[in-house]
Formats: sequence, C-alpha cells, structure tokens
Amino acid sequence: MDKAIRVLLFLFCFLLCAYPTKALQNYEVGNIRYESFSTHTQIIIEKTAQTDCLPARELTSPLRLLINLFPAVLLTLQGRAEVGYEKEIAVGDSFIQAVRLKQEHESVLQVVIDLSITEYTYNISSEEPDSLVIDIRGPRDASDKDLVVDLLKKIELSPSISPASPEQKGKVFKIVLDPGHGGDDPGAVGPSGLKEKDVVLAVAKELASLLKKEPGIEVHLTREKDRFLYLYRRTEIANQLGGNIFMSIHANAAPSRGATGVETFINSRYAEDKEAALVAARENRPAESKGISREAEALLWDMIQDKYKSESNDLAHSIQKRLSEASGLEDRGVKKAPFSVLRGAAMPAVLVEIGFISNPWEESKLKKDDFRKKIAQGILDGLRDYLKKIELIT
Amino acid sequence: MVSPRKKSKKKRKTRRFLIYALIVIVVFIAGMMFAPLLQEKAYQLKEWFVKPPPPDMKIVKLYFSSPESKYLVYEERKIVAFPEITEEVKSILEELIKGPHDSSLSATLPPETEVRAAYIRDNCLYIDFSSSLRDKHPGGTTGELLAVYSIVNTLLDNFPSQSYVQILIEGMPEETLAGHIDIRNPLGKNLDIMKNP
Repeated sequence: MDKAIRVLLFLFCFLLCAYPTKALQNYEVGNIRYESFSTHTQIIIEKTAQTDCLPARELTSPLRLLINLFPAVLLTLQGRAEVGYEKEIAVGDSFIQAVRLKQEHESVLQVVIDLSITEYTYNISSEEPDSLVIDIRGPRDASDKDLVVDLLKKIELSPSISPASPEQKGKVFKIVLDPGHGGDDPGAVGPSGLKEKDVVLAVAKELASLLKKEPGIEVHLTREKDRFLYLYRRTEIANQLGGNIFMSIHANAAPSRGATGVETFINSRYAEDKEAALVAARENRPAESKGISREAEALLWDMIQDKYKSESNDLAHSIQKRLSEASGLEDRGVKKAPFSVLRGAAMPAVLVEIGFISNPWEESKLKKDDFRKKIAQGILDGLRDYLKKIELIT
Repeated sequence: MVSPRKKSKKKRKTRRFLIYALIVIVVFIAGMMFAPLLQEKAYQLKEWFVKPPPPDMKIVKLYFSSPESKYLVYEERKIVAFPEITEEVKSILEELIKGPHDSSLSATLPPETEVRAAYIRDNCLYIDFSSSLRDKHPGGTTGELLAVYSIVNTLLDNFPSQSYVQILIEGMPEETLAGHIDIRNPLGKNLDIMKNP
C-alpha cells in the first residue's frame, strides 16, 4: 500500500514538473520583448530554427515596417493556433510606437512595427537560430535613396554605341559570348540525353574561332570549359572587359515535343517607366542596411539594359534572320522576356536559342558537327549585318 | 487511549482517502491535458451525423501551353468556391499543376510541385512553392516562360483585383526559376509574353 502511494505521488510530481518545461515546438514563436537604447530600439522574437524571416517591406501612412515570418505560429493564451489571432506590444519610445503581430495564415505570422521615427534604418539579424533580432535606428549619412540616385546618374553619363561613335571606330570591338549553363547545371536535356550545356559550348567555340578571323573584333567567352557560372558573374565579366556586345547562347526546351525552331530574345522592361521602378527599388529595403537589396539591384540593372534596347533589338533581328536561314529551322522570331542574364549587361545584349533540344529531330541535328558549324556561321552573318548597319565595318 | 484495532482502522481510512485524493488530482491534470483532444473527437463525431450543405462551384480559367508551345491558351474548369481567397488561390494552382483536360495542350508545371502557402499583401499575391517547381522543371527558356506566366496569368486573370504575383521557392525569392527568367520581383500579367512584339 505504502509503495503504491509513493509511486503515485512520484508520478504526480513528475507530471507537475513536466508541464512548465515544455520547450517551443514545431515553428512556434515564443516570447517577444523589446529594449530601448539611446541610439536604437531592439526587438527580440524568440523562435525555433525552422522559422525564417521573409524580406521586409515598408508601408506608409502611417510609417510601418512589415516582416512576415514563415513558417511561424503564435499560440493564443490557451495555447492554440488560430488564424486571425492578434497581439500588440506597446513600446512608445522615440523609434517605435508598437509592435503588432497577426497570424495571417496557418503558417504565416505577420509582424508590423509601427514607427514613431520618420527617417530610419533597420537591421534584421537571424544569426542565432532561436531568436530574431530587429534593430530600428536613426538615418545613416548615405541612405539607400542616394545610392539609387548615384547609380542612375552613372547610367546617364555612359554613352550609347549606336551609331558607332568616332571614338569607337578606331578601337577594337569586343564581343562577349556566354555559353549557357555548365558544370552541375546541364541546362535542358534532350530525349536521347543530349545536354544543353555541351551543345552551346561547342557552338560558342565554333563562333569564337570564326570571329577571331574578323579584323577589328576581339572575342571573349565567359566559359571555355564545362563549368558553372552564376548569372551575375557572366555579365560582370562582360562589363569588366568593357564589352560592346553580350550574347548568351542557349538551346531551348518546351513542354510540347512538337515545339521547333530558333528564336532570339532581348530583355523586356520590368516596369513601364523609370519612376515606378525607382519607387519599387526604394520599397524593397534590404535586410542588412549596407548596399541595396538584390531585388532593388535587379530593377536597376533592368533600367541600365533598357538604355541599349534599340541596339539590342536591331542586333536580335539581324541574328534571327541569318540564323533561321542558315539552320533551316523554323523562324520563331525575336521576342522579349525578363531575362536575369540580360539585365546585368551594360551593353547591347541578346540571348540566342539555337533550336529545341526537347524535339527529337532537332536534338539529333544539334549533335552533329556540321550543323553546329551552320549555326555558328548564321550567327556570324547576323553579327556582320548588324556591324555594317552601325557602320563599324563595310 | 484508543484501542490498537481502531487506530489501524483510522490509519487505513486516511490512507485510502489520500489515495483517492491523489487519483482525483492525477485524473484532473490528465483530463486538462487531453481535453482539447477530446473536444476534437467530439466535433468529428458530430460531423459524421450532421452533413454540411453541398459546396458552391465556380468556373475558373487555367493557362496551359498551346500545342507547339508557342503561347499560353486557357481552359475553363469548375472548382469548389472557397470563402477564403487564399484557399481558392491554392485550389486553382493545384488544378494548374494537374494539367489540362484537352490532350492537345500541355501542362507547364512539374506534377510534383506543391503550394506551401499563399498570401496577399498590397495587391500582390505571394505564392510559396516547394523546391520541386525549380528542381523538377525540365528547363529551357520557352518551358520556363510558360511555367512562370501560366502561374502569373492564371492567378491575375481569376483575381482581377490583384496586380502582381511574386513567386517564392521554399519561402524565398529566387534569381530565376530554371536559369533564365528573372523572378526576383513581383510580376504583372502578360498574355503577350510569347508573341512577337
């Protein structure tokens, strides 16, 4: 009997102890607190390693900073997950008025920081997996706005090259060829296993050897081996070389096996006008307040490439015409699309699709050396047509 | 002095009382811990008996690849109408992933693709896809254009009050979907995307 009581008593104490030490589970968000300093206010949100912070957005009228946490769940006082549950933490210092949380979706927790300061910078740090730290501080000396304006000024100053300026006519003309994909990225793979990365490298090398024979033209390849390059790196190479034309070479693929032909792409603008793009760039504030965000940078490069849109268009049409003639493949024309790789180039830029690797017949052609030579020749003729047009060659 | 038999009887009584009290406390705590679970079960049982009313249906447009992947064409489909807009968004995308009924058209998204979350902020639909959308996509510029714009055009056509769609992969914006198309920023509707400008 005594033993039984002791066992039960032990169990009871155990249960009592087990309850309070329950740690954060799944993707719960725990304690939220703030600390006010003279130079900044810091918000600390307790979380699990699973929860990530999505890029922050600034909202105006009134000025707020919105951060979404995903996946994240803020439990109610009863310990339940409830969509629509709200919690407000009043702060009332010189930087922040309040922090409001709302369970927007079963796994999205929205955090809105109501700001009392009008000019600010922020920093979000999720270096510690178990907490998210948000700092709101006063404005820096050089704000993001200035960086954006600075970059745009640089765009206005750099000259366009068409028609070829007198300075250009004496100098060597640099063409940068970019064979798409490479290394661990095979690109599209045909039904019999032909890899895009191999075809485009072969064609690019063939084209390079033809271009080397042209007087006054210097040709560079972003890669000469089977290796991977990040997209930004390809145009960075071209920009650093002071290239005059950027051409990315790819083989196409489509969900329908019946898709055939060659096509040439140029960049399509992100936004209709510069004003809208600038607003969008400013709204996409960075998570770290040094430099501008990836997203804002993308918009700026889009604006830069836009300066060369008429040259890019002319070049694309010249190439497309000669390429479809030389290859004998269907002429799918010149098209516009939002290409990451074209948006990084500070020079006329085109992307050439030399046929559909997803089409069994075109795939078999792309395997053959003589066909690859025809494609290279077609692109070369197109380039020559364009250079004649801008009076660089006769 | 109390007799030894009465004393032990009293001891036994208090002991028994203590045991009962302990059992009651343990059961009470256990009950508190399991109460929500019991509530759920009771609710489920209720659903068995009380059938909910038949759902409303609505017709939506889904954009797929045309026969030679030259552009996007739409197919109409009936789906269950959801009161929550984000639920409807998810349902429409699931239908898009399933593919067209018309065999001359082609699906644009890998069948393994899953929609992890969907939410709306300032006229922009944020759709968070699983990594399969990127990893299982067969590649190719045309294939990628069709994938991206089938998502964007399908959603913006069915939800005209929204202006943009931002594609996220595993919760983050990506540079491209399959190495070509820039999906870092929100995208607007573009039905002419494949056509010669």
